Amino acid sequence: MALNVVEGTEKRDGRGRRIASKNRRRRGDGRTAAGFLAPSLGGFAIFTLGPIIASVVVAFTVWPTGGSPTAAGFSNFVRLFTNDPNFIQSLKNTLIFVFAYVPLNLVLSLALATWISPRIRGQNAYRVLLFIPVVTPMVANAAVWQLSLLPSGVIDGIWVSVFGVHAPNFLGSPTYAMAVVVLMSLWQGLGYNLMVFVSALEAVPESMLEAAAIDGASTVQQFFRIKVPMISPAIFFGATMTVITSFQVFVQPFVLTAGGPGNSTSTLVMYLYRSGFLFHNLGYASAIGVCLFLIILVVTGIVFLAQKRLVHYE
Amino acid sequence: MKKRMLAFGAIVAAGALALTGCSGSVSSGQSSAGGATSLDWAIWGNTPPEIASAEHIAGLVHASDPNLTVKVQTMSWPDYWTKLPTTLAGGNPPCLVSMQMGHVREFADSLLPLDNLLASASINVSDFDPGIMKALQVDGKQLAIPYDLGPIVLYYNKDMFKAAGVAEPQNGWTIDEFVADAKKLTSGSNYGFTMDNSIEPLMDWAPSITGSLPVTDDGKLAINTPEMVSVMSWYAGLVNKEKVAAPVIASPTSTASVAFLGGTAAMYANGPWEMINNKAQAKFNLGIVTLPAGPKGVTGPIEGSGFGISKKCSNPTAAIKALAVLTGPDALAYMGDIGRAFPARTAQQGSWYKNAVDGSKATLEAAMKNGIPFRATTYWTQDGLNYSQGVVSVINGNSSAADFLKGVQDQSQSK
Repeated sequence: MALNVVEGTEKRDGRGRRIASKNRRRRGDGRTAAGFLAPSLGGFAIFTLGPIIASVVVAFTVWPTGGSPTAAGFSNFVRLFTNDPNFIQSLKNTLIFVFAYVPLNLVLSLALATWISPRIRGQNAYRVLLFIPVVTPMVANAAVWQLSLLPSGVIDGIWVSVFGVHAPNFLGSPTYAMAVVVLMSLWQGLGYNLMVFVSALEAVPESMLEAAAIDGASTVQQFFRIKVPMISPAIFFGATMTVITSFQVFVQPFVLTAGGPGNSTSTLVMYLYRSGFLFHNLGYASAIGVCLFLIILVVTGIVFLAQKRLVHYE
Repeated sequence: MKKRMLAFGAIVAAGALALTGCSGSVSSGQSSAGGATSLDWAIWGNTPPEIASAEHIAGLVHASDPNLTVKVQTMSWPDYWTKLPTTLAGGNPPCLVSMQMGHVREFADSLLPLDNLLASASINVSDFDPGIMKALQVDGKQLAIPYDLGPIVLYYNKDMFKAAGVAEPQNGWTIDEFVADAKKLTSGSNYGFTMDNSIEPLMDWAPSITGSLPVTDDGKLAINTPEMVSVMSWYAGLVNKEKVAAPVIASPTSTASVAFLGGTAAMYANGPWEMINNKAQAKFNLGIVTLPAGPKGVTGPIEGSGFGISKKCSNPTAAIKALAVLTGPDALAYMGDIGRAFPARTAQQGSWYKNAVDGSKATLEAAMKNGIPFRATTYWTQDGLNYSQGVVSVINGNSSAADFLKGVQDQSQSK
């Protein structure tokens, strides 16, 4: 490919014809490329890759905060899976959250996107309203939800005036607490996938839909047979991102319910935080982090495999 | 091409140099330039009145010695105990560390014993309340100089009492009177009392009901005794049997005061340090009375806090001088005046009485007469966490107090 468009870097022979000078071209471009990539790669290496590798190393030690690390082989991992009911419970809770939140998020945001994607009146207003929860700080949102749902809070007050009895203790009962966490996360996270899907839906060519309509396809058939496959790359993107971030859920259960009642909403990252900073077991916390990393890797791998069958690229 | 690369490289290098210049102080918790010393001071309490109070007494240090500056680092109460171990283990811990008597055993290894330094800063031990002085010692070594103390008292909403036609409580009232009043005050969406899931209430009510505490003299947890089970069952019964308090949730922050200050709960138990927040935020008439008494009479743990010096502090001489001012007569008179702390200096205690709500002097004196020193375990933060996670279902009536307390005892490392 002719990359030598920069002035003065072309080599010419005695007759003025260009000489291919592949080596020189590649080296020059290599250095330029490295120069431009250096800040980003450097930042990645220092702030992301380095700590990840360090974290994996720490996972094989026992390290109390304020003390020094001692090598411990696989003992942290063995203890996690054989002798730690709290870890198994956090794993269960995280999986419940993921399986409840991800499908609901994708379905609801796709439904909302379909509703607002044709040129309806106030489309931009709806987009803004639905996106506001995404950009407001998660901690502030969770704190407001907690104060509203407190047994002496706003929701309880309304419940008493409407029904005459106190509301159920949403945040204090093991069954409702996780549902509230999922609900709050949905309210917060819908906007993001919504924006992605709205853009994708608007990119579906009108001509294709019209052709289908002429052939006798109903709106529902148009949606599932044309729109969905056309936006499947966007759905794939949304699904991958949502799965990864939902495995890392921390703020919502921490602020809403502090992982309780008992440990019914304690998730993997919460347990990691507790082990590291409240129980002062840095090695153990790193081991939990490594397990989480592997779980997310496997699940994302599965999503990528599904991509081959379900996602249609142009 | 080469010129551009050079220019690019120069920019990156300049940027890197600028960034290294950003890293500030070098040694632990203090920095010196010329003759001036600056000390970092970690303290909890990050509501605006609390921050202002800390800044004020830090300013007193500077006024007493223009070469000495104290820089205040505040954070909320629960965050403080999470952050402190990490801060103390790090490379730049604060020189001046605020320490509550309940946690002093936990941090004993990180605090400098002050006994030999007191004379050099003219700190006179006899000026302070002996109980709280003792509570801030571990194994005979003074690890912090106290600034406040207090029994747990009951704050109440005078307006709600009047609206329900209930006579205001008197110092020395009993638990039966308390429950009866609370029932009358519970109607509609309002409750008579408010509580949360922290471990302190168990400590507050136990001495009056059973005469014992769930912690032994040498810092071991003894929460699984029949006495403690009876206290826990009674306390949880306020929610699930008598229904005079709202069901609780697990929360990283205390939610009990929300209902009280919001006017949906008539009574709330806490210490004299809450006077500043209660007066600032309550939109009703505030009353104060002793904690309702059980069979053992009016008694309870006296809590309190002080300031210590971290072992890694590289300038303990300057730190002890700052400490002397921070716990000096002027600082504590000020703290008492604004209702931030009931002074640990006996001579200055009048200042808190002057500006607290009516009846505070009588209440505090009655509460402290038979008070006992608070004691906590070596792993108090973790024990408190285990407790607060599981107690929610006990209070809400979904599990038994005996099973729960046994679980907390088994999980504890302080035994």
